[in-house]
Amino acid sequence: MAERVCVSSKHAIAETIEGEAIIIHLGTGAYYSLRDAGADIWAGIEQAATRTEIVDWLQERYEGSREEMDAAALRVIEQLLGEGLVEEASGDGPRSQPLPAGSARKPFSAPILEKHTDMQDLILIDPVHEVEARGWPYAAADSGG
Amino acid sequence: MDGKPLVSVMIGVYNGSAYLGEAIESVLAQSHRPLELIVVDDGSDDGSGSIARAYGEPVRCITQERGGMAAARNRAVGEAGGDYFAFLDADDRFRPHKIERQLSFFASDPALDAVFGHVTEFLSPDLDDAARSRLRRPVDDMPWPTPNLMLVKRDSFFKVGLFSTELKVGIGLDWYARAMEAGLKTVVPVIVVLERRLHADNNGIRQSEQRPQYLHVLKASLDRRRRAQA
Repeated sequence: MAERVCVSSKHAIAETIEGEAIIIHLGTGAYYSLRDAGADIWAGIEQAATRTEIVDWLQERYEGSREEMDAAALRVIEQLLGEGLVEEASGDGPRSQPLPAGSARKPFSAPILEKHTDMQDLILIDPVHEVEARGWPYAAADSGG
Repeated sequence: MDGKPLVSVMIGVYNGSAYLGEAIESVLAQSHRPLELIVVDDGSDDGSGSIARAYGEPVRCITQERGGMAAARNRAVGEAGGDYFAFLDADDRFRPHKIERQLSFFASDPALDAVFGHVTEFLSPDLDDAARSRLRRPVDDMPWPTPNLMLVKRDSFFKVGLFSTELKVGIGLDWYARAMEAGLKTVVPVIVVLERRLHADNNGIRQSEQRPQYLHVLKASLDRRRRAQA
């Protein structure tokens, strides 16, 4: 597995709202949630940070062993890869900035990637996808028609 | 049942004069009667209101200051007297048996709250080839559980509530999410009930920066469901 992954710009849109990362897969209409340490891992992925950097940041923010955090980060990243939400990043990429450390370290618990499929039919047809600067319903430049 | 139920169809329109007539005609062509059609002219300055007013009964036109799609639909709801509600965008068309076929599902399952259906999209015929080539491919016969094509019982609609006027996009997604949270019993039959027009100017969805509103709608729904479970 690559050292770094980044958000799939073709398949995923995401925003972290009140500490929860909400991610939509534009191709399937499924949506996902990552909270707590999961949202921190996602923030690292958004900056194409290496797993080592991500675990460094988790160490600053949470109480727990490096081994369990590394295993948890690896698991989330593999799940995100499996869902097609992130892809392997090549090259050095942009130099990532550390996440702001929390005021006090919280106990670490392994994050869970929640997957929801209850809105698929709506998300697939709604103009949430294929919106570019010109706006829906223009075809996305990379959609191949 | 004593006679057939009254169905209120509601259209909110903002500067939709190009296609509003077709939308209205598709309602008047419904095989079901009785129905009323409430058009809310949401501050148009292109004559949309005059188009609607020219029809007369069973079409009623209400004019209001520009409030957005949700506000226009909500205004129409306040005027609706039907036993069932349906909503239509001013650039789309119902299939002629839409209401009749959806009503038949309520007849066979009185516990149903709302009936959805499938949508077929079409490229607006007024587009030239260059404009067509830039638009995405229309979907053909896809399930679409959205207020844009539902038929919902009046009481069930109010159990969910009005459309959110805080959203520019994701209004239907938000309403559907709240309907699911409220436990509405729904069905998405495999019948095409709506023809959705793709054109250069579809409903307000012109800004890519509005995409995150969908994420906020989903976040709000997750929060509500978690609170309900707690």
